[in-house]
Amino acid sequence: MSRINQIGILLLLAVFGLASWRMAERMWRGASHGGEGVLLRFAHVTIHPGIIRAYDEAIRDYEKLHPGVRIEQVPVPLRVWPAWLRTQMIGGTGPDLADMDRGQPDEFLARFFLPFDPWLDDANPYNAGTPLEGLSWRRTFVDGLSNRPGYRPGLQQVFGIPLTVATIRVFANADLMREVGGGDAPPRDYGEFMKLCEAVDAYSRRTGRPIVALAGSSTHTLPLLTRLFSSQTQTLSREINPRRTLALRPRDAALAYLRGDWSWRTPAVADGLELIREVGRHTVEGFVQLQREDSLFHYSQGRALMLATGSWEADTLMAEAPFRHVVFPIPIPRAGEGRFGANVLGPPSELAVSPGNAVGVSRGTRHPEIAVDFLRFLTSRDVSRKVMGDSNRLSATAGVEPPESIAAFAPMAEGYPAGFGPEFSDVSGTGAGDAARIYRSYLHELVSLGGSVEGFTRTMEARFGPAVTADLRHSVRDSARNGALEDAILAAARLGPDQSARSVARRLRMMEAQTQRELDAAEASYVLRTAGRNRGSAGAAAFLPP
Amino acid sequence: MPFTSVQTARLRAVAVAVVWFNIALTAPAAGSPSSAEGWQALRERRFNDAGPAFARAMEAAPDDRPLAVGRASALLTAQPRTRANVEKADALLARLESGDDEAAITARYLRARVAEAHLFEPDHKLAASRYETLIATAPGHPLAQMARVKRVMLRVFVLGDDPEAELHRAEALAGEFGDGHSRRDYHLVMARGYLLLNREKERALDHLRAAAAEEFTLASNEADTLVALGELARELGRAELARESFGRFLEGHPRDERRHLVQTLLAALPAAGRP
Repeated sequence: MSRINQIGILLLLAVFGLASWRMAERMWRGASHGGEGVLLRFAHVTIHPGIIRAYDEAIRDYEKLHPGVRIEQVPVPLRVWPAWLRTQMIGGTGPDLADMDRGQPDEFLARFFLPFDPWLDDANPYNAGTPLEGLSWRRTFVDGLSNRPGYRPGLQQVFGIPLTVATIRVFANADLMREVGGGDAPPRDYGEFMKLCEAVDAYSRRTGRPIVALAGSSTHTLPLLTRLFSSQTQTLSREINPRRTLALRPRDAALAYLRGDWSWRTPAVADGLELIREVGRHTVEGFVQLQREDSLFHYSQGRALMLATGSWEADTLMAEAPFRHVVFPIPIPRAGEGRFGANVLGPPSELAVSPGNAVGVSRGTRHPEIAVDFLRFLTSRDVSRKVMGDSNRLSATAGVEPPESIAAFAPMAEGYPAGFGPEFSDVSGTGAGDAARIYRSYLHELVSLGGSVEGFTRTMEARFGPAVTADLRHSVRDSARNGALEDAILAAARLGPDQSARSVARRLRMMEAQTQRELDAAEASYVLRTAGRNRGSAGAAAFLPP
Repeated sequence: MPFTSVQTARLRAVAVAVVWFNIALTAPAAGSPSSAEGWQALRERRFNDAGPAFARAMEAAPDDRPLAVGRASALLTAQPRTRANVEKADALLARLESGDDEAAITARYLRARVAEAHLFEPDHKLAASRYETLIATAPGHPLAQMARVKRVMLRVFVLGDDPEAELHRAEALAGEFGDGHSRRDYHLVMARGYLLLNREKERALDHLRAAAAEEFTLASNEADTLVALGELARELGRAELARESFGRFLEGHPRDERRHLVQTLLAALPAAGRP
C-alpha cells in the first residue's frame, strides 16, 4: 500500500471515527447529562430577549424541582426555522421539544412528533392548589385543545401544547398623539379614529414633517382593513347563510357570491370598500409591497402615529420603541350610528381567539415523559402567569389574566361574529388562492390617491368570479385528496391491532370530520355546477329571517 | 514509511469495527412485527413506509386477508400517487370483496371510495353503484351505514338532475340507520340539502332536530347544528324549540364567538307559553 494511500485511509478513518463519536455522543447526551442527569433541548422561534429570559427563569425553577434534569433553549430565527427543523429531524439530531405550528404539514408532524393524547386526560400536578386542580390537562386550556395549531383536524390528534393566545390591537405613539392634537385618550369608535387620522395629515402639512397616521405593510395593514370591511358584512353574512349557523365561513361567502346572493355592488359590500379606501388613504402608499420590518421601523421611528398588530409583538414594541404607547381595539363603526353603522351588529367577539406558540415533543426524544412533564409545568396556572407576565403575552392557560402591561389585549368576550372579509384567503383549502391574489394585486386601485371604489369594483366584477371559482374547484379536489388519505387511516383503525378506546374515538372523530368536509365539497360541487343556471335565483332575501 | 502487513490488517480491523459501530447506531430496532408496523404507519400517515411493511408481512402470511386490505390501502396512498398504483389497489380489493368477513366488507367500501375519491378522474356513478352493492350485501354493517350517507350526498348534490326529488327519495332511508353516528350524518346531509335549495324548511328543521338528538364527537359540528336548529326554529316561530336548542348551545360551548348573539336572540324570543 503506498504511503499516500495509507495517509488517506488514516485520515478517512479519523474523520469517520470522529463523526461516529459525535453521533453517539449526541444520542447518549439525550439519555444522560453529566453522567447522571437528563438534557432536553427546547427549540423555538420566539427569540426576543424578553421571552428567552422568561423561559429561562421557568426552566431554572423546573430544574430546581427536578435535580438531574437540564433544559437548554435553542432559539432559531423564524426565517430559517422550517429548513432547520426538517434537517435536524431527518438527521436524527432534532430537539426534544420544538415549536410545531410554523407551517409544518400533517405528514411531518405525524412522522417526527408525538401525539399528546395519552397524557391529556390526566390532571396537571403543577396545578395543585389552584382553581385548575383536578381538571384534566386538556381542560386547563382556554379552548380545551380543540383548535389548531395544537389540535390537527387532519390527524384528529393533539400534536402541540399552546402557550399563548393572541388578539390584535392598535398601538399609538402617546407623545406624538398629543403633539398632533389627538389628546391622551384613545379613539373610542371609527369616527374618532378618522378624526385622529385627519389630525395627523393636518399636522404633517402644517409642520412639513413627513408622518402618516398608520404604519403600513402587508403584515400589519391587511388584517386591519379586513377587520374594518368585515364589520360592514356582519348583517349581510346572516342574511345570505343558508346553513343558519350565524357565522359565515369564507367558502360559504364564496358560494353565496356564485349563487348571486351578493355582489361587489351590494350596499354593505360597497360600504366595506369605502371604509378600506378611507383608512387606506392614511397609510403608506404601496403598503402591500412592504414587510413587517418596514412598518415596525416606521412606527418605532415616529414616522407613523399608529400600528395595528398582535399581542405577540407587544413585548418587542414596549422594549424597543422609545416612547409610551396608547393601545386600543380596532375602532369599527358603532352599530346603528353614522354612515357605516347600519351594517354593523357590534364589535367582533374574541371568545374564539386562536391559541399559538404550540410546542410539540419529538418522537426521537429519549425522555418523552420528562418533556411532557416540563410542558405541564410551563402551562400550569402559576408558572404561565409568571412567564406571560414577564414577556408581555397572553396565556393559553384558562384563568390566567393578562399582565397589567397588556390588559388592553385581553380578549373581548362580548361581541358578535365577524362578517366575511374581502380577501377570501381560506377558500381553496390550501392557503391563499387566486381570489386572495386578485384582491392583493388590485387593492392599490382602491386605496391609492388616484384609485376609487368604482374602479376597484369593476376590476373585481371582471376577475373575482373566475378566481373564486378556481379556488372552490381546488377545495373540492383538496377534499377528495384528504378523504383518500383518511380512507387508509380509517381502514387501519378498523382492521389494525389497536382497538383501544382512544383509537376508536379517533376513528369516530375522523369519520365525522370526513363527512362534514365532503358535505361541504358536495355543496360546492352543486353550486359550481348550477351557478350559471341559478345565479340570483335564491337571492339574499330568500334566506332572511323574519 | 509504508505500513507493514500487520499494521494494514489492524487498520482494516479498525475500519470494519467503526463501520459496524455506525450500523449498530443507526439500525432500526429488531423484532418489530411488520404487520403491526404497516397498520401503525398508515395510522400515522407514513404512507410510504406502510407499503414495504405490508409487503414484508404478507411474505410471512400471504393468505391474511386484512393484511391484503392494508396493502391495498398503502398502494392507494403511496406518494407520489400513480394511476398504476390505484389500478393495482382496486384489482387487489376486487379479489378480496367476495365473502362476508371484515376484510371483504372493508374491500367493498374501499372500492366505492376508489371510484369516488382516489381515481384521477372520479367516477361518481360507479361510486354510487359500488356503495349500493355494499349496502345490499351487508346492510347492517357500520360501513354500509356510512355508505348510505355518502350515497345520499352523491345523489343529491353531484349526480341527481333534480336534487329535491333525490331528497324526497332519500327520506325513505331514515329508518335504516342502526348506528347513531351515521344516523346523525344522514340527518345533517338531508337538512343541508333542503336549506341549500331553500325548500321545505319544516323538513330541514325535523332533520336538524333528529341530528341534534344524536351524539357528536366534534364540538364544532355539534355547535353548528344546535345554532342552526335554534335559528331555523326561531325563523319558523317555534320559540320553545329555539329556546331549548340555543340553551344547549350556551351550556355546552362556552368559548364560541356566537354566544353573545345567541344570548341576544334568546332574550328576544317570546316568553314561554306565548306563540
